[in-house]
Formats: sequence, C-alpha cells, structure tokens
Amino acid sequence: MNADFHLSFTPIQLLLSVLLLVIAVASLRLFRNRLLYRLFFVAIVLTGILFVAVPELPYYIANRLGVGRGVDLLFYLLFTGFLMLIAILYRRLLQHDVILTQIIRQNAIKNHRASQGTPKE
Amino acid sequence: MTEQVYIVIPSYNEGKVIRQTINSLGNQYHIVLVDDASTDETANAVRDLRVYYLRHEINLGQGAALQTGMDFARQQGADVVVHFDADGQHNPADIDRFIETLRTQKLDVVLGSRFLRREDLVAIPRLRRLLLRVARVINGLLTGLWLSDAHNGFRVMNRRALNAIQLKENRMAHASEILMQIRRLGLNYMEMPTHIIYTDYSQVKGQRWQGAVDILIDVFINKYFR
Repeated sequence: MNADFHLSFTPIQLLLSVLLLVIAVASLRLFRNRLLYRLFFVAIVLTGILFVAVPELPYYIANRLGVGRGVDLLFYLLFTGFLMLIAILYRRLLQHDVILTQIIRQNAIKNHRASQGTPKE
Repeated sequence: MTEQVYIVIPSYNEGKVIRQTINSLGNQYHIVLVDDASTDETANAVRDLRVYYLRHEINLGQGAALQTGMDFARQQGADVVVHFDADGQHNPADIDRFIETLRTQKLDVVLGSRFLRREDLVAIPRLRRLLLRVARVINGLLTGLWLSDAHNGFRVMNRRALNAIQLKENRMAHASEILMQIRRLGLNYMEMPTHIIYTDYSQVKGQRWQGAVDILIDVFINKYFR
C-alpha cells in the first residue's frame, strides 16, 4: 500500500463526504434516546468518510480478507446491513402492531353499546 | 345458579347475514358482537338486537376480534365463552351440546370438528376438505396438538381457558395459536362433531387456499420471531 497518500479531495470525494456528514447529523437527531443506534450510525458514517477520503483503504482491507475488490467488500457489507435493517424494522413494526391492537381493543371495550336486557333479566 | 354463557361473534362486513345469525341464537345467551371495522351496514343491522356491540376502529383481523370479545366477556364475568362465526355457518343447536360436555367431562375447551361424523365430512366441498387435511398435518406438526380438524371456528371454553388464553395473532393464524396455547397451558380439551352449513354466501366469504399459505407464514413468524 502506498504510504504517502495525501488528503487532497476531488470534487466527488468532497460531495460524498459532505453528504455523509449531513446524514450523520440527521441521524443523530433522528435516533433520539437510542444510544446504540447513534453510535452504530456514526461509526458507519465515519467509516464511509474514511473510505471516500482514502479509496485505497477498502481495497487494502478487502485484499487482507481475501475478497478481491474493495467494491465487492462494500457490496457484501451493504447487503448484510440491508437484511439486518429489514429484520430490525420488521420487529419494530410487530411491536407497533401490538400497541395498536391494545389501544383499539381498549377503546372497543370501553365504548361498547350495551345489550338490550340480559338473558337473566 | 345459571352459568353466564357469552357467545363471541367476530364480524367483518357480514351486515347482510349478521341479523339472521344473531336471531338464530335465541335469547338464552349473552351475545358479544365484535365488529372488526366493517364498512357495511353491520352497526345498523343489529341496533335493535339484544347484543353487546363492540367496534374496532381499525380492521385488525379475526384473531384480534375474538380476543377483544373474550376480554370483554371476562370483564363481564362470563363462565363459558363460545366462538361463533358471523356468517351463520355454525349450528346454534351445537352450543348447548358442547357446553354440556364441557361441564360433565370437566374440560376446559371443546373444539368443533367436521371430520368426526361422515355426514359432516361429506358436506365440506372437496377442495376445502383436501386443504383442511393438509392444514391438519401442518397444525399437528407445529402445535403438537393432533386434531381431526383444522381451523374450525366453533369452540367452547370455560373460565379457566378464558383467563389463560391470550391471542396475539391478530389474523387467521389465531386458529393454530389457540391450539398451541391449549397445549402449552395444559388445558383439557376434546373434539366434538359439528355440522357446518356451506351456503353460497359463506363459500364466497370463506378463506381461499392462498390464505392458508399466509396463515402458515404467520404461525411460523409467531412461533420463532417473537
């Protein structure tokens, strides 16, 4: 690996870095009260910026892991992350279903229309 | 002392037949109609009838409607709860027979089955029969409860079962979920023959086979991912 890379940004590198930073800030606001999510997101964004700034880095890591191309490594990571995301969101969705059901059920019971006389009466 | 029997009828857009179904039950039971956010005339159709009318603001599914009805019945002090379909395919005459068995045999749950008597069996449309046989095996494997029928909506349970069973499966997979819970909670159960009336109406409204695949996936998710 070339040791003397210097941090002069090409326009695309600059653009990507700025975008990632914006996402980082937005996600910090988004995941309020979720430290784990925040740390995870920040770590991803920082890695992203690092990869943008030093394009040789993913290539180097990929080689060490035996993947071949840096792009392939990124693809595998993205794909895994994508599946994880779906699982997490789906779980969350199920939790919301449970809450929604409880609210609707409680309302239905509270607001029931009474029977006109009961069998015993 | 008379037992307080509550008939829970989950209903979604059954406005055309719901009156008839409720009237067929006579006036010896408490009737809890859980309207699962119907968009038809259901609410008005039963306005003058002697029923408890509960309405979900959003459609949640039959499992959720049953649980709402069961929660309500429990709060009202029900001794026995009966699950009864809104479309009139169940036979009201079965109710007392089932309750009698529940009491004399000291059972917690009595489940209806279309496969115990030849005359009930032949009443089932052929494709439906095939589907039910497959569903029965899948149900047995998943729930550990080997019954002769699968997804029969006619059930009778006592207070103990009412207190213990808690349906989390909002849609049709609740039928398998009930079996799982019966097994897990160690409830005493038995199957009894029921006659299901397959009218053109209930045929159209009934489940399609695609629904069975959905149910299977729901049961799976419920069992392993919650």
